[in-house]
Formats: sequence, C-alpha cells, structure tokens
Amino acid sequence: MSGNHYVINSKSIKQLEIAFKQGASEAGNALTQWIGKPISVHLDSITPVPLGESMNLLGQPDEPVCCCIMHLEGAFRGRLALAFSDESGMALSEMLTGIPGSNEWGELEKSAALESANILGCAFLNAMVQSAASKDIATVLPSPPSFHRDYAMSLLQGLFLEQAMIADRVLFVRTQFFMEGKALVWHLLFIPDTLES
Amino acid sequence: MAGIGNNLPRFVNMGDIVIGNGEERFSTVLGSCIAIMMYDPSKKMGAMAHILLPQRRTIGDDKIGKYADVAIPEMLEQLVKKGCAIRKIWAKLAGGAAMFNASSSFLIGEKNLVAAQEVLEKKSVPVLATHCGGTKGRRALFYPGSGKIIITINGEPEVEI
Amino acid sequence: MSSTANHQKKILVVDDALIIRKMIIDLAKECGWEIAGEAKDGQEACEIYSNQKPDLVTMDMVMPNMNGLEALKKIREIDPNARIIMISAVNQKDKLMESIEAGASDFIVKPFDKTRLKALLGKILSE
Repeated sequence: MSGNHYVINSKSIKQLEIAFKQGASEAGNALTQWIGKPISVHLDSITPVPLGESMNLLGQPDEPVCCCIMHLEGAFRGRLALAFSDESGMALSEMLTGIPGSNEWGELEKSAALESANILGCAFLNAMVQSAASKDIATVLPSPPSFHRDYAMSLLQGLFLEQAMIADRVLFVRTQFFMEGKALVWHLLFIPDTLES
Repeated sequence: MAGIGNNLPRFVNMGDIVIGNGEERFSTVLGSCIAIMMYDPSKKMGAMAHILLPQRRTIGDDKIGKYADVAIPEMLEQLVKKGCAIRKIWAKLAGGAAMFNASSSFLIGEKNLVAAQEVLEKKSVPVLATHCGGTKGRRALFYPGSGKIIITINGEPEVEI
Repeated sequence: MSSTANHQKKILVVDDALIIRKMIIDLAKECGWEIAGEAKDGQEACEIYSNQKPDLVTMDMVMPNMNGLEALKKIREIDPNARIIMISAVNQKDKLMESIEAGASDFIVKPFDKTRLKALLGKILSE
C-alpha cells in the first residue's frame, strides 16, 4: 500500500479477494440474524473493468436506484455501497419493520435500509480485519451510512470518481445475495480508493 | 443513425462526443460529470459531449471526450467540418453535482464546470445557460436539430434550459 | 423480575438508526422500564444524560457528530458511575477493548438477539 491508497496490482486484488470471501460468510450470518430468514452472500467479481462498463452495474443509466453508502478509512479505504430497486428496498423494509404495503421512503423505511447496510458493511469489515495478513492493520471504522435515491449512472459516477481521476479501468468488488435459494436484486459494491501501479 | 425512426434517444456515454441535426435526440445521465451541448442556429446542428474531468492527464489514445480541455476544441472542430461557424455557436452546460458531498467528488463537479467555462470563453463560445451543481444527478435530453435541452432531476419536474 | 421493581428504571437509548431505537424502546417497554430519552448521536446523548440521569444507556458506536466511544468517555466523566452498554455492528477487538477500558458495562454486537439483550439490560439494571 502507498499511504492510505491501494495499489492496483495482482497482489492487492488477491488480498481483497481473500478478505471479501471471508467477509461474505460473516455477512450472510449477520443478515440471516437481522432479517430472520436464511441469506447467503457470495463474492461475484473482483476484476478491473473499463470505466464505461462499470456504468451498467446497477441497471439502466436513468433508472432510479436506492443506495446506502458508507465511507471506509484505514486499511480498506474506499466506499461500500448497498444498492437496490425501490421494490427490493421496500420488501426489505417490510421484513424488518413488520409494516406492510409501504411504498414511500419515510424515515423508518430509510432507517431499515441504512441499518441493513451498516450491519452488512460491518460484518464484512469485522471479518476482513480479522483475516488481514498484517496484524498491524489499524481498525477499520465505517462512516455512518447515508441514503441516496438517484439515477443509477449518477450514483456510479460518484462512487467511481476517485478511481476515474487516475485510471481508465476501475476495480470493484461485487457480491450477490440469495434468500431461500432465490437471487435478491441487491448489489453490494466495494470501490477502493486507488493508486495505479 | 440511432435515435431516428424509433422512440429512443441516442445515449451519450462518458467520453463520447456526438454531432447531430434534424429529428435526432441525444441523452445522458450526469453526476459530477458535465454535459457540454453546443448549437449553431444557422445550420440547425448541435454537438454533445459527456466530460468526466477538467484536464487530460497524459497524451495517449484515451477518449478525449472525457476531458473538458480537449473535448471542447474537438467538438468545435467537428461542427466546423460539418459547415458550422464558430461565431454562431453557443453552449449550455449541465451536471457537475457534488454526489455524496465527499471531498473529491465535491470538488470535481465544480472543477469540471469551471474548466468547461474557461475553455469555452477562450474559444469565444458564449455559455447561454447552465444547470449545474447541487447534490443530485441529472438526465439531459438534447435536440441537436433545434437546440432544445430538457434537464430532469429525479423526482422533480423537467426543466428546459 | 417483577414489573413493580422495574418500572422506576429509566433507559436512555442512543443510536442514529430509528429502527434500532424503536426495537430497543419496544423491548424496554415490554419489560416495564421507562425511557429516559432517545438520542441520534453522541452529542445529544451527553445532553440528555446530564438532564435525565438515566439508570442505563444503550450506546451505538458509529454515529454522526460524536461517535459512541467519545460519548461513552464524556458521560463517564460527567458520571463515573454511569452504566453504558455498547450495542454496535463493529466487532473488532481493539474497539471492544477500548470500550471496556473506557468503562462500558458490556458490549453487544448487532444484530442482537432480543432475548439476550433483555437479559443483559435486566442484569445490569438490577446491579
């Protein structure tokens, strides 16, 4: 690592992969307990792609998407983003609040989404810190998550900006979620702040 | 050409520069990026670029449309090649939001806007309108045959600039 | 534990997430405990603590304005006998140690088991 930034090379990508695989298992356990239904989390991809391709990660560019974003400092500096459609987000909120039929993002609904991102993000971080090769790695604390609802591409531009300022290919970690065997329409992205090697 | 004969406008991705006229429509989605839209009323022809950064870092085969400092001269050159006159062309800008209010993105949207305005001023292209800043994304729809521009922020009524 | 003995006990609930505050408040009311107040950040928590002097505080760690660790330390300065349970999704050894060394009575990791939390709150309130 250089300063507080990652260097994108095969070694750092491998480290991220190991850390996130470890985190996925913990994240699944945490979400299962939080939501009360069995959820599994799987690492989907962790390869650099051209910046243009990354803009399709959350669906059509002008599709409204909800996104809970946490900033991470320390050893795993970057942003963690939990993104979902209105429908998926409301379904999650309903499972947690027990209030059916809500179709507006009120304070309680947003809070349910945000706390889900917090629990998920912290579960990953806890496992990643534990698995870190260097025991000198400082504790990684996230920022409180923030809720955003905006066009998919607008959100992605904000997320990939740090990397786009210095590189033409971007690196992100993506995970998939399954509940009772069915894929959920949620996206968890980790976008490290990077320096190109 | 995409956008003619169907209902969908042509999507302008990051780093793209497109020229058009007639019934064509161009659209893009912006966060901290800026859409630069130029129009020559005498030729009824326009151009749109989707820039990401103020200045190009290194010279290479990278998309020049990503950078305000080289995209603008390129747009003007392409419009002139199609018969437009620089002194007739105007520009309008949209985007440059501070997504998430984080430090880097907060600065870059503003820097993109300032850079675009500076280059346009150097080229003596007047900027007739801007719809920039804030913390929310925008969708921009440009009619290069008439110069009409519609900006939409999610959840708000569309605005013509 | 009888509700008569419990009804005097007051709890201050601190978490930036409304849903968590609601869960803890509902749980406390089920047990007959009063709510001294609820706070969205450490700053509010310190102010409410000074005014209300609750018997127990449940404290999140990651919050805006002032985080839970800072609030824990500040409240313990105001009242060295303050009883504070950290309730956080952060489960990293040095943060746990820092909390305990700063005087937290206990630490529960989110997502918490409601039965376990009830038992822990009850235990500390009865001490």
